[in-house]
Order: sequence, then C-alpha cells, then structure tokens
Amino acid sequence: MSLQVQEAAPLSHQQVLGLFQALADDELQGSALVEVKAHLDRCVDCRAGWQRYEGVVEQLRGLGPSRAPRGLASLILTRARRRSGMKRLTSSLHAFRVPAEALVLLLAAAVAVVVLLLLRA
Amino acid sequence: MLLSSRVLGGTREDPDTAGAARFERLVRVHQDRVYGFCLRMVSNPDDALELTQETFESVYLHLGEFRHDAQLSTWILKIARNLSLNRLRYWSRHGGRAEPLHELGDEALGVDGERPGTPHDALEAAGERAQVQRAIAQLDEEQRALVVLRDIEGLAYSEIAQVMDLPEGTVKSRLHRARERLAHLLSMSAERGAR
Repeated sequence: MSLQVQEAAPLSHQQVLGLFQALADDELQGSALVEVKAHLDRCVDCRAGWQRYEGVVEQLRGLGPSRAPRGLASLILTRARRRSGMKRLTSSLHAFRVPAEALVLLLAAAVAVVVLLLLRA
Repeated sequence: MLLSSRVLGGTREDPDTAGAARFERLVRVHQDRVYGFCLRMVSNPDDALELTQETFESVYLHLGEFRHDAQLSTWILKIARNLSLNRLRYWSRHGGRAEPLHELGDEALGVDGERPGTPHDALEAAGERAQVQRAIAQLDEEQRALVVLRDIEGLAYSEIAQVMDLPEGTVKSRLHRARERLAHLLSMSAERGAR
C-alpha cells in the first residue's frame, strides 16, 4: 500500500510525526516520501524523533523469530493422542445413554406396578 | 482422529493415521511461531512451552469450528493470544509471577545467535537484545502482542487485525503508540545505564 500526501502546504511537525509508521513500513512513495525526507533534513527535532522511532523498529526486527525447543512437536502429539483416546472413551459411553434411559423407564414402570399392586391389596 | 477433513484435506486413507499425519504436519509448520509468540508474551520458557501445547490441544479439539474466512495461521495465533492473555490475567488476579521477569538470553528465546563480528560485538548485541526484551515485557499485554506480531513475527496488518479482533486502522494506531512507548522505555533504560 502506498500513501500519497496531498500537494499544497508543507507538512507540519505533527503530520510528519504521524507518518513515521508509514515511513518505517516503506509505505511512503513519490512526492510524499520526498516531502517527509525534506522535512526531516531541515527539522532537527523531527529528525531526532524519527531516528529514535526507526531505531526501535530496527531493534525489534533484529530480534528475529524464535524457534520452538526440540521435542515440542512430540509433546504436543502425545497430548493430542491422549485427548483422542479420551474422546473415543466419551463417545463410547455416550452410546450407552439410550439403554440407560430405557433402564430408568423400566424401573419406573416396575415401581408403578408395585404401587398399584400394593394399592389393590 | 477427530480432525476437520476440510482443513487437513480428506482422503480415503485410514482416518486415524491420515489425520494424525496431517495434524503432525500442522504442528511442525506452526509451532515456532506459536512458541515465539507465547514466549514473548509471558517471558518465561516453561510457561511458553505449556501455552504452546495448550494452543495445539485447542486447535486439535476445535479444528472443525475453523471458519475459512480467516487463515489457519491467524486462527491458531488467535488461540495462542487468548490463552496467553488468560494466563497473564490469572497471574495478575492471583498475585502469581511476582518474581522478576526472566532475563531471556538468545538460547532461551531460541534465537539464532550466529551474528557477524567479534565475540565482543556478539556479546554487546546479545545484551542489546535482552534489553529490548525487558522493555517489551514492560508494555501492556495488547501493546506487547502488537509489537511481537508485527515487528518480530512479521505479520501483515490485515493478519494482525484478525488475530487481535481489531480494525486494521486501530491496529496501526495502537502499534504506533506501542513503538513510541518502547522508544521511551529504551531511552530511560539507556539513561539508567549511563549513570
């Protein structure tokens, strides 16, 4: 993405400050880039601010991505396998739900029959 | 294995074996980035290791819920981010992690220490990297995540917006503030060092 700053009045300090991010991300092109650079050339404060900002971004980028410790993938896979076993067990237990419900119904019916018999007696 | 065949590509192979192989590939492709992100977030290698495992466990369990309007990599990072934030919030509520933040060296960070120059240069560069890591750890959680995702892991703003659940413009403005704060922290630490 490129940003174009409207031609007209020279950039203010505040505007230049707001463009530091685009400058650090190489998103400024053409006249916008020229204008910002010209401002930085003549303004000591903005230049110092830019150098500080650019320095931080460079330091961060210089850190570079980390590498996972060796063996991490195996740990993860073992954990997933354990989870997989648990899931299978849960789904097998789930399969017994209908017979269990039927058993409850049978029990309830048996109780009802006993109560009826008792009442008759 | 209960893995989404849409994500991992369904075949007529034995589902257990095929799913396991694909999940292993997924882990190997994404583990460095997830571990690196968690490590920079919590500043502790053991916790980062645990969080990475939790992240992939969650990926494993919820892969079927993955919507294809996002990249798989950003979806995984979003899980890692949520788990890291939960862990940090738990510590702040329960007074955990009271010990000073780890002084993370290159080895702990899994960073390639091979740099050109003399041993003195290398030592100085390692010291500088540790100082930056200390400053990152002083940022608030959101700023830390933004800086890590953009400047260390090199994600595009659109990807960061997905991971952070924020509009792209907000990501840019908050990242700008995070870099400014980091610049302030580093200059303070340089001043202290000069005294």
